[in-house]
Amino acid sequence: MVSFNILVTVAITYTLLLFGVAFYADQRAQRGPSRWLRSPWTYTLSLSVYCTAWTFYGAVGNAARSGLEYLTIYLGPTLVFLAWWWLLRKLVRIGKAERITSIADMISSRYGKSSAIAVIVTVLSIAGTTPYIALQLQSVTLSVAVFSDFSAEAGGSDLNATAFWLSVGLALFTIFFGTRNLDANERHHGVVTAIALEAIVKLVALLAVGIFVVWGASGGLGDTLREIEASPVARWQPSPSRWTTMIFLSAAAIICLPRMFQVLVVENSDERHLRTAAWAFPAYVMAISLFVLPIAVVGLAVMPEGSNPDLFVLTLPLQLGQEGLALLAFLGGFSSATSMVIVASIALATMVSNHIVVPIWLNTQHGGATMSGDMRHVVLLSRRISIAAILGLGYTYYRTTGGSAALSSIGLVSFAGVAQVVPALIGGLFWRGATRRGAIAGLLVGFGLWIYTLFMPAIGAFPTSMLQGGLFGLDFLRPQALMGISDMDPLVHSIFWSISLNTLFFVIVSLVSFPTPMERLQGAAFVNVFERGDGAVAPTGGQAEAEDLLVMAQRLLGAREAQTLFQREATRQGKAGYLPDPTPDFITSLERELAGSVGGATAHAMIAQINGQASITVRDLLAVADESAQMLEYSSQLEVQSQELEQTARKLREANAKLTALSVQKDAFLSQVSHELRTPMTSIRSFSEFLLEGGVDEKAQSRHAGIIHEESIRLTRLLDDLLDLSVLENGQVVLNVQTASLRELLDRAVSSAGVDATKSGGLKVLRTVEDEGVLLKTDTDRLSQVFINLISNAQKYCVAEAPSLRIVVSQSKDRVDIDFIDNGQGIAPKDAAVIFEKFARLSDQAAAGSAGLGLAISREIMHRLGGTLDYLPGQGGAAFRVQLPLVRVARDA
Amino acid sequence: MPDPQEPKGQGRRRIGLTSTSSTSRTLFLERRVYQRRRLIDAAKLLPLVGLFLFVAPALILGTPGEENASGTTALRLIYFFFVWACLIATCATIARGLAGADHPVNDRGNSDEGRP
Repeated sequence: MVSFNILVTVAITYTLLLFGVAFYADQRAQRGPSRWLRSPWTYTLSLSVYCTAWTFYGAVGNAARSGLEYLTIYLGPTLVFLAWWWLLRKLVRIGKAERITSIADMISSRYGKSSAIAVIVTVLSIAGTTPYIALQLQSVTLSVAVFSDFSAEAGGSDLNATAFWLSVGLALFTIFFGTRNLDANERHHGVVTAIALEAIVKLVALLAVGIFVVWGASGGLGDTLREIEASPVARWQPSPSRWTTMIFLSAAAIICLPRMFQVLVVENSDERHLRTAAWAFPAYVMAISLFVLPIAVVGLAVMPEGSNPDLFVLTLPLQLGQEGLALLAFLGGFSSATSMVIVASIALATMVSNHIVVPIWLNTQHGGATMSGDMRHVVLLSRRISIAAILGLGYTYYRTTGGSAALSSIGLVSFAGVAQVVPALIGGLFWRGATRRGAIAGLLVGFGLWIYTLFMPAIGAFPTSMLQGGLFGLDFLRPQALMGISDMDPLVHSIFWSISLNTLFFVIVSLVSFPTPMERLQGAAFVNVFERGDGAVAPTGGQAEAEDLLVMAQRLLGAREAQTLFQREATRQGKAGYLPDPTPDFITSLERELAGSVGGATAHAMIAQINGQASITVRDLLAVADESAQMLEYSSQLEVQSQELEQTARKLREANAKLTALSVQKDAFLSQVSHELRTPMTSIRSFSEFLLEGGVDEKAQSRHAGIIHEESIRLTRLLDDLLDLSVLENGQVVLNVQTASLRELLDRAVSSAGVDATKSGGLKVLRTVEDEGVLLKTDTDRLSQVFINLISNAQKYCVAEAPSLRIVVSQSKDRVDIDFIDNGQGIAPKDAAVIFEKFARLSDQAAAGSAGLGLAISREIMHRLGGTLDYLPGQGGAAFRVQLPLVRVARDA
Repeated sequence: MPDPQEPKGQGRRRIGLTSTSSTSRTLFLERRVYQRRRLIDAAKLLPLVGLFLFVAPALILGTPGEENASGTTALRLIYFFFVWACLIATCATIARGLAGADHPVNDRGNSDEGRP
């Protein structure tokens, strides 16, 4: 017989082995990533923390009582893992992107990093997990008791002491390996490796017992199946509603149980591991459940009447004299219990410390987040105390409910409790419209109904009168028969009401409430985690100083890590030293880094403390509404910018061309002036030389003098014109305003221009005299000058057989147009642009006595008079329009 | 509550941009990409198939031991383990086919594959 002492020795040796493995794995992990530590197989095995002592021992008990129902506990998780592609992958991706530390952190982060939700989920998790921890303690003490009963060693059966020392041992292990450091990634290599080892022990133990039962105790597979048919378990079957409810519950539990979330999402080091776990974990649970029914059936047949079917895995080998096998089974059960307790207490301690202790501590510290000193000690200490407290709670629970039968059903009660998180979690993952208020409403309603309809009755907290008569004697409030629906299984009843009302409230409140920008932002980041890389938006308007941020980061991440982080960012920004600019991007990534240590809500609050009243506005949301839109916007911005640049360049080019043209014009003008001056000067010089030499007759002399005179006049006229133009252009002209009739002015101009229609080829001026009765108040001399210029131009350049010039006067309300239209060949469009330039002469034909300044001067004059002079195309000859304002004249007239 | 400083029309323009990008999606894909998409469809459907296969016996056949229920407990046990094994095998096949379909990031954003 295995003595109690041997049992204790084996247990302690096994525990030491676990310590060793965990210690080695931690050391190995510190030296750098190891393929073995971070293999998909370690990950898959660590997921087996799902199979607790409740499933290790309890599944057989369940099968003995309810036949195939035990399968549902494994079928649900199988379905969830089959949905790895669209569900688990999303969870893990979000967990990494947002540095999620727990299920409470996940849901709180989704709903705008709400502290309220984090606290609710934490409380819910504690309420659901504590009885479960008690259950593990009970299963270990019961299994120890089995051995002491069999070994008939009366002295060693102090169950409470066993439970106590077990709790202490587990607390030590968890504190030692679970809170060795404040890892920003919240990974516990030692713990994960140890539970992976325990997973193997569990599986081997159960398979060994199963194989022994089927091929050793029973006569092989066929016999076993016949025994199953003959056994009472064949009559005990779950109803369809209970079957479906159980599958739903276990499916919910695999993602919502704090410990499952811890190993599934938080401890996951590589998303690709899911690809293996997706089929390997279902295979693992299938193997675990393979021999459960045979063990139950054979146990029922072999074991004496009244023995506890929950312990068949242990008692059956003992009954059949297989002590070694029983010892292995004991280790399997021990592994199941301890791995659950360790991971669950780490997960809960993380939640309690991140969402309850640290926020409270931060609030009591007046210095706030900028205070110096290493805060990691505080966080670690709070986690250690939390672990001890949670185990203490579990132990107390175990002591108070004292191994009662009530405990055995607590597993499903726990599942039902954490399942209340499902609507908020799944809704948050796939529905952007889910809001914080909706989540809180759903959680509270579901939590309340769970406590009222399942938890309290299960732990026997309600008196029988209340169970049968309802709260305040109201029949429709009976905890296990709400609204008078009394023929339902209590579990199905509770799940039906709590989950349906939870979902209903969640959906309706979400629909009618309006989310804050932060919620909308996080909602988009969660739901569209695959579509976008980051989706992060940073608060605007903050006044964070890089130094303050560094001080705070050092307190949470440790000096060296924080400095490395800041230096890397500074380098990325192109700065030297440790202080990068606190850009929104940097603050967001820093917040994420801190979230890995203290959870999203706390990290957000700490950053906000430093960053002042910074908040995310709707504008920030729109700015990151869609990464692709952002890219498009960016490129369209670039496009606009380049268009602007192009426009500027074009303007510059135009200005440059104008300047160049002006410079060319100036040169041309100078050379023109020189040329114009030189021609008469040459004549004057040569003819005056003739006169000086003498020897010319008087006739020639007078002819020479005449030429000199003529040329001097021409020179004078040219110089007059130049001076005139310069005066006009500089605006120095003084206008001599007089009132005159247009007819008089035109008469004068025609005669001054020396028009003589009687001469052969002379210009004939055609006028409509009745239109010319307009009184003008202007500088009449200047205006005449323009008229004369236009008329003499026509005289000079009109090459028609019978040249004529029509002068057409038309009057409108505030101006008068005087058109000078000849019947010559007109001016080509390309030349029309240059005729008003100085010295512009289209040909030398009949150009004598003109320097080409006439039109330039005329235009300047008209400009000074407030009118215009333009070339009028399309009139069958050269046509010029003189336009004058009429305002003042009209009043005088 | 709309931000009063929000420039008007910005949101509308953005929506316009998004809808353009979604309409310009490729209609036909090359064989490999097409097959990968169908594999992803299968991966998405698999849990529904599993749910049907796991729940159907309880709903359709009734509870064994009752008078008009068909199928014995032993037969159902064999049925469940057979379906279970088939689902696991299918899932493993699909998962193998989908290797590299996702673009995973580990904690530091880099891959540790290829290290000694």
